[in-house]
Amino acid sequence: MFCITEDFLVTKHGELGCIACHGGENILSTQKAHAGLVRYPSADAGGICSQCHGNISASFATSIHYTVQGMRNALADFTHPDILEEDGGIKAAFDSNCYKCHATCGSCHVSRPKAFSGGLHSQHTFTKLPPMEDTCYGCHGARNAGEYMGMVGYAKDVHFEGGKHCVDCHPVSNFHGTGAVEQNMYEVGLPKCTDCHQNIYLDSNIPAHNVHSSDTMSCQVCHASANNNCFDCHAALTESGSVAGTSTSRIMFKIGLNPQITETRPYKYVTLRHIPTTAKTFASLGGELPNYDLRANWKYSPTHNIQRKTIQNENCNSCHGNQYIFLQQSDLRENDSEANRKLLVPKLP
Amino acid sequence: MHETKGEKPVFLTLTVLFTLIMLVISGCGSKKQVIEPIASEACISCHIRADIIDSLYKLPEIAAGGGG
Repeated sequence: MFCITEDFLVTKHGELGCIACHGGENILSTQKAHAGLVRYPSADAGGICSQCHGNISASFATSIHYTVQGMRNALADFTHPDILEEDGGIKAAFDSNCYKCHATCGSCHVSRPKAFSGGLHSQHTFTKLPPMEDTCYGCHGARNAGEYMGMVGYAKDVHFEGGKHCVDCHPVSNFHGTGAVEQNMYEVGLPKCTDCHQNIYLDSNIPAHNVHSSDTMSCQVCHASANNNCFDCHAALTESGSVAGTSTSRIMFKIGLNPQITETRPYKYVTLRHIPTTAKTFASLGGELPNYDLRANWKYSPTHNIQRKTIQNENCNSCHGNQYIFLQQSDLRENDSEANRKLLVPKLP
Repeated sequence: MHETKGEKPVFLTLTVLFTLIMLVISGCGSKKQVIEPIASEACISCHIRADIIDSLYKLPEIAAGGGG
């Protein structure tokens, strides 16, 4: 049962009164008071929030936190562009499972996201800076957020140890949107290590920084640690009629060729993470992925467990010639996508 | 004291800037609240303390839905 506090009642939001956002009636009768209740007032691209926070709501409506467009695009690439317009297993899986990570204003600033079982994270207080362990972790916990906080894998991130919140690196536009219709996370202006560590290659007395050019590998190749990799996802109907996915996971560290060299990611070598989708992921729901082999399931991953000293940067030989850390043919599984082959490191550096 | 040609525009500019800053600080130009407060004492009396909720809430014979 949700509770509010007397402190909340004297805040700007509290002074509006519950009914101003949630609807209902000011009557001491449970049934009558809850008539017309709006449980999630911010659900519709900001909803009631947009009346005061119009600019933020407008950009948020096209942000990937709200639209989860990256997931939509992936499913479309695997099948065809209208796959989520058709009733079927894949749409059912998306609506009841993938879409849980669709965020609203309230699911960060007031409560935990649905993917994290919801509930208020500090009674009904509106937090300008949401607690990352209750919000970011709720959707990103199995990977970047969990690794960042040391809850997944073997090492936490040195920036977390230094007291840094996600927003200390990620600009607010990474959450509230840029105003443009965002298609995936790589379009949103992600932070770069050099935003703070400027000239780390040019102005450094570190030998490894002097012998490698800045576009040889991403920073994570030397400074990230083993991370969570998932395999063999199978989506199936639960007893309640929703869709749940099961998969296996392993803590691994793999360096591979950059899937997409861009101006902001000019590197030849990058850290990769395996995602669990297989061609048969939706088979039990009647969904097929005919274009499965067009997308690699080893993905570029700027893993968030950075340490200055790692196993692979202990000395030159810790990395060079180390077959265990570079993506090889032997790492590919029978049900992996054919597109992974272009990420294999042909010759150990 | 005679004013030089350069001093008058600078004085006017500073005056305008000062006025604008004072207006911003005072809140003029800030977004007006567009949501009218609505009395919600009934909501608060139930939802402010868990023990009150427990004592007032009676499970309906037929689930009425709604939040809580």
